[in-house]
Amino acid sequence: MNQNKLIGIALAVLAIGGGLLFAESRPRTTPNTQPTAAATSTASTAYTLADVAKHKDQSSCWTAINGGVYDLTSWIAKHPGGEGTILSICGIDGSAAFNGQHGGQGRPERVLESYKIGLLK
Amino acid sequence: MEAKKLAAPILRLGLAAVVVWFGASQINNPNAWTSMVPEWAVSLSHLSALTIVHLNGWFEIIAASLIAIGIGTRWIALLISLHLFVITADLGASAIGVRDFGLSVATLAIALHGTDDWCLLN
Repeated sequence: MNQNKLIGIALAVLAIGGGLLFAESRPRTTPNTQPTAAATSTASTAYTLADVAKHKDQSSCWTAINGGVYDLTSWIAKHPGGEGTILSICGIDGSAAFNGQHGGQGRPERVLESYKIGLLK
Repeated sequence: MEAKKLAAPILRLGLAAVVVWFGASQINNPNAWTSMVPEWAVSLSHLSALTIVHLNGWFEIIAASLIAIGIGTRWIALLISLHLFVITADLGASAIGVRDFGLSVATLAIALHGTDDWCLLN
């Protein structure tokens, strides 16, 4: 086996190892991200806008959209359009922003549904 | 080694690392990826989104590892490229979709180039 192939194999091991080592792993639960009792309730739980307003930053981000209440804390870093867009609707009714950007789009609505924690009353 | 000769293996190894990263991320935390599985994939395969994420993760790890080592480079790179083009088409012109388009085209370039001097089989 010539030198080039040995170098190639060594770099391949580095590339594969690096990809495996730095891959996203299951998020650890910390006091900041641990689901609260309210957040783990079923979707039939009702919240007011005042309840939503208490969760207005990156450590706990709730928003109300089209009558539902959503915990978007873990979605902030994953949003394809960037973190700022999600952070801008933390703690408020984000219906206008969501409908303006994603109204009628199946995938964003399905993704949103997976973060639902209750209804807005 | 000339700079020109380094281009192909650098591209191949870099992309392989990226695809391994995505595959391993799906294996490590599949629930974070189920929302990305398109409905047509679930209905066509009759598999759950979670199963599809697991299978996709292992597929990406194995295929990317083979590309990194340099076995079946041309055909596996073409397969990964097509795989990424399908993902790109589903994501549309979003930030992630555009980035995945770049990855698709780069992987296609590897397939077109074929093996380089650092591939195990060339």
